[in-house]
Amino acid sequence: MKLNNRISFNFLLINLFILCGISIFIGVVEGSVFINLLDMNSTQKSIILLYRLPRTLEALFIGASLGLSGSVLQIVLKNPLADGFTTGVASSAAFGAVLTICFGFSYFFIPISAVIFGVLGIFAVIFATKDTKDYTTLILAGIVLNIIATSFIGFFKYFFEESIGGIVFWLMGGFYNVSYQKVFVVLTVFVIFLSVFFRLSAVLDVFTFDTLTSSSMGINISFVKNITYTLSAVLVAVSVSFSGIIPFVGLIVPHISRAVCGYRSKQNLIVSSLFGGILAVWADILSRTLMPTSEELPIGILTSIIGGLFFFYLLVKRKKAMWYV
Amino acid sequence: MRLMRLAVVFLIIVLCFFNISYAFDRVVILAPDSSDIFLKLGLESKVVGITRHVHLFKNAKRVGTHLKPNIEIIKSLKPDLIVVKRKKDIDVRMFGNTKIYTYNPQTLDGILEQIENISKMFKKDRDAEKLISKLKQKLQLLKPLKKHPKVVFEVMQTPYIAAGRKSIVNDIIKKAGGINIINSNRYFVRISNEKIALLKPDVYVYEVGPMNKNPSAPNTRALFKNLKMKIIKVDESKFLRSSTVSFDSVVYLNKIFKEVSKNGR
Amino acid sequence: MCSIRIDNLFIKRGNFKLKCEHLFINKGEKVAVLGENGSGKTTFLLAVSGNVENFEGKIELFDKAILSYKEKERAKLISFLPQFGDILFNNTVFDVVLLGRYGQNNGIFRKDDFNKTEKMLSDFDLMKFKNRGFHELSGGEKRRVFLAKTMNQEAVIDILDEPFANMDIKYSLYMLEIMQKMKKTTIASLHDINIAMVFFDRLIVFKKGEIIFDGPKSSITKEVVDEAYEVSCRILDNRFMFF
Repeated sequence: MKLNNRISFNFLLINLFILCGISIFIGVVEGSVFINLLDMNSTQKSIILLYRLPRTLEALFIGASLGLSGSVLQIVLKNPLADGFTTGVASSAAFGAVLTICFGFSYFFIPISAVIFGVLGIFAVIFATKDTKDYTTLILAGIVLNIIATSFIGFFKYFFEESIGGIVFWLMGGFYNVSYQKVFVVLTVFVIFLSVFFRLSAVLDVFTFDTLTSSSMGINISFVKNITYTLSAVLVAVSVSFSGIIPFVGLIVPHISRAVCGYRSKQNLIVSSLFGGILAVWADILSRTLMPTSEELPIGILTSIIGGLFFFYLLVKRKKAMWYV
Repeated sequence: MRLMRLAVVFLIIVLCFFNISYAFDRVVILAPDSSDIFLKLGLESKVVGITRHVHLFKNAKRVGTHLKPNIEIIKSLKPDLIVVKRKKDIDVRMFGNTKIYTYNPQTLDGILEQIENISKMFKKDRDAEKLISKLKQKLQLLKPLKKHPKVVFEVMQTPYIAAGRKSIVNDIIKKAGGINIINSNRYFVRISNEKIALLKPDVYVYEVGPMNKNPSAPNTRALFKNLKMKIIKVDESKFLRSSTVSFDSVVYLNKIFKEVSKNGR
Repeated sequence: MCSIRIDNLFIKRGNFKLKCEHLFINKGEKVAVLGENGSGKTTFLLAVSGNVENFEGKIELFDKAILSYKEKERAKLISFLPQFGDILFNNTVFDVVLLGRYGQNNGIFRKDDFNKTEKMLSDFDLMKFKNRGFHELSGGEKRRVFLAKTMNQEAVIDILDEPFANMDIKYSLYMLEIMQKMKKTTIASLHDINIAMVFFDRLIVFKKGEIIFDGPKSSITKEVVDEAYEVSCRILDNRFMFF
């Protein structure tokens, strides 16, 4: 079911938007306590409006950002396994967050420190690979960064053993301490990056050709590589800084999107974002409702399970539509 | 036969005597909560090893943390008593002749009992009596409440964890005249914020300490913003540690509960 | 007017050296680059298409150093088909050929671009594959798609490295006829000297990194061909027979 013409793409888009709307609605209605929307007291109203709605929206936009960045990274690194984690950015951002948790700064500083360390990680990778035109080197540098950052996190987990609950939970991802300010920041970041990547979509398409072909088609390979890599990595760092590590969304969503709507970047960027958002919202709904004792599950566990199973299905059934190398 | 029985009785008496007469001399404390009792009983000089975060004993060596004690250092200290929170905290086989004593009371009565037991091991019964009566006195000064406030105790903001029925905090709240709204029979309970909001506690206690390094004030959080409840910030060491300080915490909470119930919330 | 001008070019890649003292390629010329494997054809084509960064001497494209062009400007002047062209995803044939026009319009494709792509597809007899995935095609068909993409770039000069590799003779001739009609400057490396004899004007023969022949096809001799391929050939009806 590859959709090539415009009409069927629009049809897909409409369906995805409807699905998106339904997911948000369910995200607001479902929770650890039952609330009858038609008959609410003030506490219940505040649960819906001040907690569940912003939380669901944050999940939507973070998931969309992760899907978007994965979609771009897989093209830039020319690798089906590329996402925020193979680039090491997620882990170094997480390390930044762990530092602030361990040293007891307030929650306000976690995103800031995470973004700073994420960007430092990006620079480290770019600096280490600045003389090569090889994409595998970028991935290798990312994996090394990932290992180093994870080890540092391990050290802090070991040393600050009282904070371990908080650290581990944060590392497994989730949407806590929500507020509309956060939603606004995440939405703004997402919209800015989406429009930038949207402008670059033709460049990304050309980039999928081999190096010689694409450079003679009129793009500056190393410039495009550096700029798109940096931008998508920054997007990952921002997402991680708000929600902790949510694995698999950035990896799996682009594959789903390509299997459904073909390979034009312009369409893929939008569909990846939508799928990413929907996946994250559903993972969040499940994380809030799955446990009978009304405790929350870290969302990373759920995205890994949902994403992993679906990915497995795709690998077995629809391998051809996903990746051709 | 009669002689035999006499001999056995005699033997038992002698054995008991020896047992009682033996006072421990070198203690390693791996249960940080118990260290305050050792101090109050005047056993400062007996403590040779202590975990990283306890700073009460100047002459004691650091032996790691209570989760990861350093066996080599502990062995080198040649202790005759090791105080642990749980038996599995330490590899007992490594310390064949050393007495391993478990200290993990989660009620105020339990703490008093522990004081008595520890004092016996060091023949400090007098000091123990004094200490116990002093602590009991504190409880007698508590003011009775007409209305018992509903209380929730936040252990950790993210992930959200509240104190359950098994925790010392539960007994502190109970003795101070409040009702812990979490009725799960565990130490720590993971629960959703939404549930807390709907249970509408009268008093919201949140702790600050290693487990909850820098929580945001509850009245700034989306779900709790509109709740009318008394918010109290307390020190982790005073509430989540089972020690003599727990008794002061009861007094402290009781005062606040009294005010709350007076204001008719 | 010189399209491409080379002075004292020297390129070293590992153990391989390529030398070229003077060479001009004029507008509208159809140049075939010949030589055995490893003789320097590909390196030469990479150099004149601006894909070699370290070299001594001068390569000028329309009187300006070739490396001074920005990729976008260069793409309007030179369209290069590398020996092993590939694409990451299973894009449709239409999309692959359409993307060839990126250099012309910065990736904002309009009606005109779609029409030209359709025309290119029908010219190359690819309409039946229009909506097929690129990777579902055979090697020769893929080559045809890439050739169409390269042509669709509408650059002034086409530089083609082994354009007919894996392509059967029917379509090779078909492609050659289309290229002949287009009357563009073309530089192509070829394996088959007889194709060069019919469809190209000028031959450049490489041997171990040096040019051993450069001139109109009418002046090539049996001795040059024998030296280039290290075989002994016969001339029959203006064609070279090797066995």
